[in-house]
Amino acid sequence: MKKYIIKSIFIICITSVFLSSCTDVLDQSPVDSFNEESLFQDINLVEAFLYQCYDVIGGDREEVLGMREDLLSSATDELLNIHRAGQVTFTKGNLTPDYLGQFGDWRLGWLQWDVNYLNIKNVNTILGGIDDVPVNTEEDTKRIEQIKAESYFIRAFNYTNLLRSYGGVILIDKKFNLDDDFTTQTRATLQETLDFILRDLDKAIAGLPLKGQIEQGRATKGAAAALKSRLLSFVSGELTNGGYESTNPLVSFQGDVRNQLLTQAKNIAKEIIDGKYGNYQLTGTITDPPSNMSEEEVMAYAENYASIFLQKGEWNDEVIFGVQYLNRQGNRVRNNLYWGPNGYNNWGNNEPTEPTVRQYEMKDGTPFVWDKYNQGEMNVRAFTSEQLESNPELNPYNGREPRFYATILYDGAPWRDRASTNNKVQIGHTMTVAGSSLIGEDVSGVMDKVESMSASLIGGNDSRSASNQAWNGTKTGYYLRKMLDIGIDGELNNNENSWLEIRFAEVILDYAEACIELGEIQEGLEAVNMIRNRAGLPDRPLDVGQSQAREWYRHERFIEMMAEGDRWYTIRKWMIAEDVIKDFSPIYIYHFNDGTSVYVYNTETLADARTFNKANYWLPISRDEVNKAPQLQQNPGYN
Amino acid sequence: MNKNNCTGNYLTEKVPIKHLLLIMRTTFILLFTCVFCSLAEFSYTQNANVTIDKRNASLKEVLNEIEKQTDYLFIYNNEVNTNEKVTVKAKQKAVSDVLSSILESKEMNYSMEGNHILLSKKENTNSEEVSTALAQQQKKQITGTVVDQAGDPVIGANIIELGTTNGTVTDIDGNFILTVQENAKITITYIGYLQETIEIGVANSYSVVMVEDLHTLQEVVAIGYGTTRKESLVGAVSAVTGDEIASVHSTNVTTAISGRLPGAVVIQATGEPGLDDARILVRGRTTLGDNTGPLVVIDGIPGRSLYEIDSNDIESISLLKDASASIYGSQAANGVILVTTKEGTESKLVTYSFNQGFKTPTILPKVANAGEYAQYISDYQDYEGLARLYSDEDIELFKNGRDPWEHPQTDWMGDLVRKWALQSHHNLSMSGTFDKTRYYASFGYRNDEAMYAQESTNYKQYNLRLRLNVPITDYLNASVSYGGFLTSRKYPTTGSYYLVGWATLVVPTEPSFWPTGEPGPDFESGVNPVVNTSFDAGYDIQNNYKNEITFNASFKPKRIKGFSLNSFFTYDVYNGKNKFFKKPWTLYFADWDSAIRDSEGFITEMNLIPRQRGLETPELTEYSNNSIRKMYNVNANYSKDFGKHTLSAFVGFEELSENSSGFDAFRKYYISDMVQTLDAGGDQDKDNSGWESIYARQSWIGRLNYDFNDKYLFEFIFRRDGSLKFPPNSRWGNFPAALFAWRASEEDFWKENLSFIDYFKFRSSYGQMGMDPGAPFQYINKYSLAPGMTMGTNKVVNTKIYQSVIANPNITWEKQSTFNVGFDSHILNRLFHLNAEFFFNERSDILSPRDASVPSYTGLSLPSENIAIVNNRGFEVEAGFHKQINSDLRIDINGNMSWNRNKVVFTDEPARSVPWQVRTGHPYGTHLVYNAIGIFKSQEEVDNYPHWSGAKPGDVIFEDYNNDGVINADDRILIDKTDAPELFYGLMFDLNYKNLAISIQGQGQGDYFKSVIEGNRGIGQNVFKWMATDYWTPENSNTDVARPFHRADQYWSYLSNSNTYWYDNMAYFRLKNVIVSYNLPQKFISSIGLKNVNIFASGYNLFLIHSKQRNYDPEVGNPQTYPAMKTLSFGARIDF
Repeated sequence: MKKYIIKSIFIICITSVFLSSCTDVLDQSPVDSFNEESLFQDINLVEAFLYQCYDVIGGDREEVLGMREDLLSSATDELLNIHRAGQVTFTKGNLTPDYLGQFGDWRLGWLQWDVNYLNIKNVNTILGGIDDVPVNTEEDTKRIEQIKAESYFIRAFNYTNLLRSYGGVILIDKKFNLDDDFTTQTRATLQETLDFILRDLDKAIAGLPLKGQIEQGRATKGAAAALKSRLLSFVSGELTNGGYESTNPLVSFQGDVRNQLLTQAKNIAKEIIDGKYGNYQLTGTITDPPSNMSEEEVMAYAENYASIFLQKGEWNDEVIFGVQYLNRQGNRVRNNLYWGPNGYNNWGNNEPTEPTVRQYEMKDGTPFVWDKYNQGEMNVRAFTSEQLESNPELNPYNGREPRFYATILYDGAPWRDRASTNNKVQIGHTMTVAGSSLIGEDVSGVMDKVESMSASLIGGNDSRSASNQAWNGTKTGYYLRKMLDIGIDGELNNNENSWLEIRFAEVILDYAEACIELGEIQEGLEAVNMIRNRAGLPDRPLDVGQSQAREWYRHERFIEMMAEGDRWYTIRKWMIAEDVIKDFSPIYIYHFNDGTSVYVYNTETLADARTFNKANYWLPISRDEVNKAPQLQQNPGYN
Repeated sequence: MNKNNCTGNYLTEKVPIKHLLLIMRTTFILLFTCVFCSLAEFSYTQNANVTIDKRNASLKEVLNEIEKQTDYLFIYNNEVNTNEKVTVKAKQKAVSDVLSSILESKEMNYSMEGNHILLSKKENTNSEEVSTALAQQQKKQITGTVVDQAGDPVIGANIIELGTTNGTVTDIDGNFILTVQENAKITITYIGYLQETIEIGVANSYSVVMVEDLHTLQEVVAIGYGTTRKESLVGAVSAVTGDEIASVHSTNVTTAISGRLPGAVVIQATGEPGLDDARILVRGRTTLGDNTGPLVVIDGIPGRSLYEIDSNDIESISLLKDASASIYGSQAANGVILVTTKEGTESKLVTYSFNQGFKTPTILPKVANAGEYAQYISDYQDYEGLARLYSDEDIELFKNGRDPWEHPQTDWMGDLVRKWALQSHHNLSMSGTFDKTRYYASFGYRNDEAMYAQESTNYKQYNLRLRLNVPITDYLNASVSYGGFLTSRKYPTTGSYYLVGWATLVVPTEPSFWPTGEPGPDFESGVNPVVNTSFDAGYDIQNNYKNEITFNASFKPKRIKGFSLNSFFTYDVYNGKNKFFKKPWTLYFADWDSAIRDSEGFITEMNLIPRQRGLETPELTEYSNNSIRKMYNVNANYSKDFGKHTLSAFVGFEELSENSSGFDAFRKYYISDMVQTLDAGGDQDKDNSGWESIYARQSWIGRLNYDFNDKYLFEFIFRRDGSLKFPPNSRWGNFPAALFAWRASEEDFWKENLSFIDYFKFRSSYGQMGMDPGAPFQYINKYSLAPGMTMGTNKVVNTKIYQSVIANPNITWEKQSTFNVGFDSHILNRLFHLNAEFFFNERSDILSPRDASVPSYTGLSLPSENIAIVNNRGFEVEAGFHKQINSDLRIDINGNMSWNRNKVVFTDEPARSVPWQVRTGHPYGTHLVYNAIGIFKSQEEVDNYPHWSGAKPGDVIFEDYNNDGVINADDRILIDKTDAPELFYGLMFDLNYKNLAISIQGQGQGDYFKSVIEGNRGIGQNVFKWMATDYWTPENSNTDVARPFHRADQYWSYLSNSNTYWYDNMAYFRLKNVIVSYNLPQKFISSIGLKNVNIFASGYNLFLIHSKQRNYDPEVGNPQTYPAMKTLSFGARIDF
């Protein structure tokens, strides 16, 4: 009996030890995170949260901002997205509230409605809590002021993206809570939205340090000023000044404010050019280039221009704001892999189109003329080796301006060494027969004859008839070279060259536009000539009328900013999308064994079928969002 | 109607547990099922003394009392009238003395054999009736021996002369003596065995072999925190024995239960070694999202894995489907699978079993060959007016194979896969009792190889299981069990999606190997699937070590009868190590200029240029993680009989805590790939990271059973769970349940009117249970760390903080109400059985974001809130036919079928532009797609029906669902049955003839639509054979196969124009499993000193009997993944 009692007590003791030892297991705190209170108790944590805001500017941790597998420029006449043409809804006429394609998903993440507002919330969290952060030293106070100014910059950056895509939007400067009433906020007018962003930008400009006084990659006075220039330049165009739905205050200013906006745009650009917000310069020389340049001189200009986009370490004075990338850690991009030629085991996306390639001038500043040697034949250039020897410019890729060589990979363009062949891009096909009989034929004649010779055709290594990854071969006849680093093997390595979100050339072009639109032609064209001279092109004469000046300026902006995304905004701002979004065809090239070469712009087939829908001048707010917030007014042209 | 049909009635008035002890001695199956055995006493106190003071009590009561106070077990038949009243007054008297004094006057004898006491009527006191009969007819005395299939004597079997009450029981050696009339029939019955009937002929001596009854009502079934007999079961529980699972010889237990546990939908998504565990849905789904898996409880410990456990170690598996799962409270809503493992036997048993399997893919997806592909692409290009990639001469060469260098005919899938892959499984177990300590020890080894032709993937598993039951004193028992698992997975660095998927995608016009044997060029980024399966490109080794240790103590004070206090403590340590080493591999590229050509221009020889592909330098990532789970449980049991009333109660407390952490490290720039350790890598670009997480739960558990006269069974369950995941105010949840069963066949009216249904039990239950998915601490705004932006001219990656959790301060359990009615029945002397269940569940408080209400412009990423509701209804039917044709031949046929359909009752669904796209009201996972209603056969058809711009003859017709003349997003419809099949069924046929057993299982599922994402093909990516056969061309317009197309064509864009053309019905019925086994004759076996040898051959996933499509395996339902495997195996099981 005693034994029982003792052992029972023993067992009860053991069990009660178990029970008592762990009664608080349910009351633990997370071991792997901070809570919101701790965030605003330490300036270092606030700063770390600010890095998140920088990160979300681009939508996600990797591939921050514009340098992505799919470039925004493929939504313009500049490029073709060969892998997802159907999702580039802007050029397909199928951009609707139900289907935004790339404009509603991560591929163009920095443009996404959701992403921009997510980051605005992040910034509002900082601005709402930062005044509670305990301050110990004067250094802390300075850091707080700087973080605030950076926050204003980031909010302005996000709102600028929203304004340029959607027009007037909902303006939010505080953090929402889940139980708030979401049905009362309505879209502000374009004017109110602009004013809101300008207020943020002015605070940012005032509070931010100059470049060199803050880590590269963070906001600076110059960056905020350049963003202001970008914003004002956009809103001073035709689109927002009565050109489209002029009575709708969401997308058009009411009343005649254009001259005032142009003046503001001109002033801020001028201040930047004058060095008020830091020292910015165009890379290379802006003195007049030598006339009749040798090939080496052209290539030197080309390399200078290309180098702007290949900066891996400390940025030069052309860069105003950008994103840095590393091979492995942090932000990553693989543009060499995404855009490079298929013959190098790359994916060949974002291909320049033939109509755009024809826009590149000759090296002497005269326009490129396809039918220069066979007037009226806009689609075929055919010549023998003897003819080419006496006139190298029969080859459409010879004698072009330096930026052509820095931007386009064409048939015969020098590129990385490769084992089985050589170091030239091979888009054209080799024919093992003679081809002189094709000279003088038109498109259908050439194509018929080539077809009859198809047994002797050897596909170019970088073409869609290649033995290697033909599906990644070019559909247009070109690859993009800009921002590709010849030094790395894209198949194996990430790129390390920075994405330049805002560079000095853009500010100069903004300035030129404001001047020309205000009628100050000479000042405007002088700015255009800065860009041309740096590129190795001679000056434009200054004594011309406004429309000629405007045409020259727009041409220059097109070529200078090619593939950087700028054109998606300008073709809308200038309202020329319906003129430039058009079907286009591929270029086919054949090299015959007798030295004959034939370049055919094959109008018998399309490289891409395109349609522009005028409603798409502004992006639609997605159906889901409107359903959640019925008070949101949809943009014009959408149901 | 045979009067002597109720086997159980002679014995069941006794306490069942002790009878089970008896059964254990002689039968295998029932030996292990009884967890309670571990709690029972094992001190054989011979000549024990008892203290009894009873006046005018029934004999039964006295016998019960003696059984309780001692280890004796009484055996008697119904000749012994235990309702006779006796009076006993004994204080510390020997049992024999007590019995002598009671039985003397009662005309009964007793004999003590070991710890059994046999009671019988005195021979000379037969009733008058019998005496009269005696006088009228010749009588004859027979003797006999009753043994089981293993040849062991069956003690206490009832021998009854048919049509009389004349009978006896077998003694300790299985012998009996009985005087019967001439030409009489005797029946031999014993619990757990099928009834035997013998006609008495001229012989005087009879030998009876009893056959185990696998469908006995006495079978012990595991339920939550305990066991019960099938006949006392109140809830809806399916069960399968470990032997049955082990006999399937599939690679793992999750697939072995397919079709054998009614109510479990089992879908195996891949046959890849080490990853081939099946998705199990108990009664379908009742929730949103991916959290659909049932709770797996192994030996009482929740949250363990079904994948690694060795099927030889399993005693039984139960599936709790209805409110009976409520005893697992907060984790039970997806159903509970209870696994009971084996424990030590009384007699020594050493068993070795092995099987050697040969595996081959059930169906390999068929793709176009080189000629077909070239023709397809050319037809496409001709149709679209595009330049040809292949000339007619090329196509001809691809078709005739004349030019292997420039026009190869590559069968990528054929080069990837070998005909047979091997799988083997060995298990050695020892079991017995040593100095009262019962032990079970088992060692298992499993090796499973991949189907790849190159040396590659394999899965190896070593498992050790140990169980000791130690009686410390006669009231205190302890047990220790250990489960150790070492699993090793070795994979190529490329996932099977690429290897198998890309083998269907890579064009057959490119060489996998050159005619001279070197591997050919890559598809993209180094991908040549045939080469990538080998370890030339590195390896991915995943080693996991699991240690699961449980200590168990049970205290049964003699003073408080029916009471026990139990506790267990379990400590699980899991370690994982993953080493991912990649290195460049070599592929060979053509040097066309070096080609030597024959007179016809065909290449006969050529230089090949080797190039390093894939990556620049070797890279290594190592991952390490460990987690510790501690759990303890203290519980008390009490049960008491009050005449016809039986009451038992269980109450317990349980606590679980978990702590997990891990880290990983990366290096590249290895100078050489000879040393593959982290330190050998370069310093540049190295990287590392880590994580940690915690979890804890506390639970109060209670259960009350009340049973009136074995007819009315009531069960009440209550569980209260508290979880670390939730905030203090919503941390605790209550999960009650009530269950009721009525054994209607025990009622007189039933016996009189419906006696052909010998057994009928009606059951009903209602209960609540929960689910606690998601990460802990969702009630707190959490900010986590991550690598952020690259800043500064020195390019430093700053650490950023981001909001990882948006708080939902009110987060709590998902709640499920479950209602179930059902019945179990046996018909015509157990010739048939029929069980059925009908259920309705409703899950509320499902975590789901408020999609419709919070616009994105708020920037709020929404936390999941307890708002959604899903319900689910269905039924299960299980029926069987069981016939012992003669003592040599037995046939069993069993079939089961489950059907369920869920419905999303509420989610915060955004408004849809048209009503037919509203998902609420549909089952979960419904897909929104265009309805493809055929293909345009001519331009006329295109012109006459609304179509997308650019539609051509040969394109798929999208239905103009709303008849508005335009095809747009509004025409998309919802298609259901895309998440899992609603109907799932199995059919089993078992035949036993002497030593031979044949078991055949068919298994199938109903309509289940899967999109197989084949649209992403065209130029540069091969097409499936069905797409490249009989497709539409202007010349061949009368067909249902669309024209050739290219994936980038806008019309065919899979992402924006997803449609039913790409959906296939995965309904099938297949011959799942055939097992033929043979017990070598006993004479032969015993002569070489073995107890039993069973040899078998088995086939798994044999072939499809019926399938709605045959392009790929319908169970896997994806042609671009590792296929399901057909396995043929043979092996043996040897008992020493």
